[in-house]
Amino acid sequence: MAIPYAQLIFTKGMPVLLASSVFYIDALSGVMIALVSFVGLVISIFSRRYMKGDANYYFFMALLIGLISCLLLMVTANHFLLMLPAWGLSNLLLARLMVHKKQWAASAFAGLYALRFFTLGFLCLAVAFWLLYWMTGSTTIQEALHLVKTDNVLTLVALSLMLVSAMCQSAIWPFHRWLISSINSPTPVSALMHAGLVNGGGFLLIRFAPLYLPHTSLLTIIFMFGVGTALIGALWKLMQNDIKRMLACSTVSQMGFMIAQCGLGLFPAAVAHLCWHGLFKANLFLGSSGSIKPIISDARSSRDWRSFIVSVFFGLIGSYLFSWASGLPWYSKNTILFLIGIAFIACTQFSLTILHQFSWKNTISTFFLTGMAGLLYGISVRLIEAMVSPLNLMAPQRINIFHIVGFSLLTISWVAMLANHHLPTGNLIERIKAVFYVRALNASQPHSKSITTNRNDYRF
Amino acid sequence: MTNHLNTKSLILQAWEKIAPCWPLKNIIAVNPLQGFETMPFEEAMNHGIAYFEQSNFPVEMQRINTESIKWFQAFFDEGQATITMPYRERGLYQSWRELARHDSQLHQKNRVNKNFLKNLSICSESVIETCLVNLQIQPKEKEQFLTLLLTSLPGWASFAKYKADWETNDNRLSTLKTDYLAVRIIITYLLWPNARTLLAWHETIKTEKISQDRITAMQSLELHYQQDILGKLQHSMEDRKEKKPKIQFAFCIDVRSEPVRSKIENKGCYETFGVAGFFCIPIRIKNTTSTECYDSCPVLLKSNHTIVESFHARHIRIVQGVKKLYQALKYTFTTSFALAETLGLLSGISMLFRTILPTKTTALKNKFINFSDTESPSTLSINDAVTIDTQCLYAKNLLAMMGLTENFSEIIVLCGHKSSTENNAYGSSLDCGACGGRSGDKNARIMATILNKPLVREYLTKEGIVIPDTTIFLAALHDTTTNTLSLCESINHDIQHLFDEATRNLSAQNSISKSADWAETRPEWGLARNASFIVAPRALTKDANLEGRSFLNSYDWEKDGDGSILESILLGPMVVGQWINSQYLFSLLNTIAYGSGSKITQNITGKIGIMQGNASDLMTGLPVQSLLLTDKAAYHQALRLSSIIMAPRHRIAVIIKTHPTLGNLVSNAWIHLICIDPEDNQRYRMMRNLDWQKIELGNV
Repeated sequence: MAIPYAQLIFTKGMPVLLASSVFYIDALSGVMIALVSFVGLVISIFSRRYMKGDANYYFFMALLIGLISCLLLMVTANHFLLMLPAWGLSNLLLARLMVHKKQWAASAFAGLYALRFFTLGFLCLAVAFWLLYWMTGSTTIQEALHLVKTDNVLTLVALSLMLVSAMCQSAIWPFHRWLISSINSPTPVSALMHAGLVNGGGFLLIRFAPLYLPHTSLLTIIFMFGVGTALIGALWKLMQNDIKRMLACSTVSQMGFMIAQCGLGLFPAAVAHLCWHGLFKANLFLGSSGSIKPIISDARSSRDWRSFIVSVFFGLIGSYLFSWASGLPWYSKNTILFLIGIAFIACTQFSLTILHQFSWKNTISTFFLTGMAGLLYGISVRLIEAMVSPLNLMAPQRINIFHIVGFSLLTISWVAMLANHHLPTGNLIERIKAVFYVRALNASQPHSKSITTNRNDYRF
Repeated sequence: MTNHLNTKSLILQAWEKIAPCWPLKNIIAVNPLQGFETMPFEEAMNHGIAYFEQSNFPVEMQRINTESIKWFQAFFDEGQATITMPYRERGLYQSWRELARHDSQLHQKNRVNKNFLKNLSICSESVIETCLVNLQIQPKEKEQFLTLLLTSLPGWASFAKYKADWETNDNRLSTLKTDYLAVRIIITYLLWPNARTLLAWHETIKTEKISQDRITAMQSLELHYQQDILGKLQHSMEDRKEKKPKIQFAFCIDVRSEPVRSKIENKGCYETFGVAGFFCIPIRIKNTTSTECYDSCPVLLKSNHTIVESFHARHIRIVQGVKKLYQALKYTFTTSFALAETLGLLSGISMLFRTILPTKTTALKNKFINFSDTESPSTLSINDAVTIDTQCLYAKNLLAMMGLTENFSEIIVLCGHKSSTENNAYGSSLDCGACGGRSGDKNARIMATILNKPLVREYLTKEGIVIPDTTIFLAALHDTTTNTLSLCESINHDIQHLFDEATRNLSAQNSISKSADWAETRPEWGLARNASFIVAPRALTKDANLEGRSFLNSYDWEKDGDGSILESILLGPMVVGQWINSQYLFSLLNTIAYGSGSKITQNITGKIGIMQGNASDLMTGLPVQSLLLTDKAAYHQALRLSSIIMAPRHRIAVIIKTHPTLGNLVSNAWIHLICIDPEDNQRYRMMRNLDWQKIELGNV
């Protein structure tokens, strides 16, 4: 067995803070450490007051701190035998935190239910690691990354297993249901889960990105699962009637988007999404107890066609400013176009919302605001991308038909929401809507055993 | 036809057992056993155990409830979902009927079930009849069966009851009670054809009774409390009219007013009064910015006047616009990915500062985002809504109710109250119950304006209430979380100075940080530990340390010759006091069946109510954090309300006996009624047979 060593090394111009047979800290680990510590710290301080008076207070805090430490180990691990236990233990701790009060049967079930997915993920990961070890004889991730022959069938098997593991962790369809059924958890646990644990899948794919990149068809499969989940998660989110399940479905959708970015070969963009979404969602969860004001607007209010055309134009400008600020090319023949497209849709929606009525004064202010929004978005993405740029993981793919279909679906669904009021009505259409509604409603329900059907079965 | 009538009345009978549950935007305290109030307390408790506290339902109920919850969540949503339940505007049964046929969880792909759902009658009542027959429920069991369908999912039923009985401005809701039962019974019929068993099951658990020990323990606590408080109230009452007070304050009768009143009085020559916090003007407020319209008066009253509240500040429109923009990007497809990425950093910063510097962050937030602003308060359109004659009547009525008809100070402050908490679904339960679970500042402002009008003063003078020209009425807001008082509108420097002198340093050190903290689950104790309702002049209670456990309603029996003021106090505020008291009482007695469990796992559904975790029956009542210090140690005490009235006992007896609602409360022991008779200076207890029994102090 190799003796652990620690030193500062530079390979391929990539600064690595620490490389040993046990730990490996590069830019990716650095970003993850920052995210986990920040979120972990805020949630711990929050919980100190929020959980006060709870019978399991000390147990809870101990588990919470244990979980955060475990996550830190996981993102810095290099040795397979550190990464794997850290991965498993953090999920085990999460499941225990989710249960919180064992006497509450629905909650105990939800924990066990999540654990099923985690176990599957863990086993896949274990086998994948074993395969990598078996093929290369190396016990560390970094060494394996260099030694593995990518055109090997076994490598493909290992990568696919790792993909399943990542999908379980990030609640990607069809492994999403544990997350939708996880709301029996105390609020801070949900926050940590949605800001930290679910990102594990993305982290895994990014860590092993060099192995995935040569397998373009595997990347396309990843993309399709991602986009599918992004769409269906968004639909469920819009239909939910309670705040926390809405947030959970939203996470499913966002994770889908993040995984899709991985599938496009845009790993740094995925890191950016993972970080910013983590903070965004943790904040929403922690503040979910105060969310009693009705939603005041939706994107569907009808507008005249002139503001739509102007908005499309502003959307183009916004997306251009986004590309300028983020340092990505505005027009390219590769998958970066996908990101620009998302920025374009977002800026168009932004402009449309401000531009209630078409007037010159309104239009000028909308122009500036939309431009600002595009810039902000670009800067935000660039902040993280710059940090992980030494990893050289920006590997945009050539656009294929699946990418086009994926993007079209994202666009169509958005347009459909906008045009909802202008769509033709009629019995048949109403009927179809009804069928879809019921199907989607049923599909987005938590597992029935994780529901407290008789409130007297609830325990605190 | 007779059959139809019969079913209708059965349905209504079944609903009688259910207490309404108000939505989160204005939580009103109710007795969860309201449906059993015509029974003696102990008996009602037993019924409560049988109907609401059972945990071992037949297993089939699980699936029935799962499906019911799913559909009720969708139908009763008031602003969470963007894609809402189709056909919802047609009412519960009609919309559900259109959708249920597609629900594979209900028909389970079984052809017979599919046909049954497809051919459901358009009339919810006849569907109930059909299902009752199909389920082989005997005619005399029908009412009980329907009742069990409600009480086996009591939370959602409570909310439906609220919608049907208390939100009467919506036509869709006229058939809600029938619709609700129709949905329940169809789901039951499909998933458990043998649901008859439910009746037998209920018979087996019905025998369970509340332990006599618990009742005895409660009684001894109550006696002990009464002994103590009557002892405290024995002394005072001597010094009546001294010199003219510098400021007179009118507070709400809320128990949280009492400690503040004592503190102010101890500062110097100040006089305080207790009166229902809507200041006797039943209004409805229409907010032009949020377009919300709500009643600002006790729910037992009907608001007659719609006051339009409009704001001037430009920044409110901007804040509203930003919010709209945010939601437009969040609640649609695709753009939410960009939104999360753009706002991530901001979210992180906000989350950090709200957690480590809550007080400063919230102060900043209130300054820029919230609408509270004393420099440019909102405009309230009083004259459009209330005629000057009516204004005069309200003014006279208020002063009479307060017992303030002479000896006016130069400054009289009407103090509405509100709470200020962060990240708290139960915020409105801490607001003014007399204002329908809202902030009381508007009522205070309106009454102050009315009382300052020369025309009103003229009228009052004619009625024998002479207010000096130098007297000015002001409106203030008492923040019960931070225990601070502030004037609602800016006023000249001298008066502000006098006001500050009286109201400085009322709050405890940590209350402000608790109020601002989004991680705080116990921002304030609200009305916890409430125990008594005292109707008497302030002189009686002034020197007693009441520990913030008493509702204080000012009342001077000598100024109320015909007893009409006492009558309205007992019918209004005291009944509300009893609602509040029973909400706390039962929420504590069973923190799950009547309370709503711990806040840490709560989930807000439809912006209207609380579920526990993934999905559950609606949790009505108060969370444990409003009742308990820790999961194991109680803060509130389980006591029934002791109503202590200083008035001749024959006058009280007449009122109690005339009104069956009041008679019921006393004879069924929902409250204790104690009289301090000023004529012979003795204390009497009204027994269950409504006779008086003399209380020997030290031997209550």
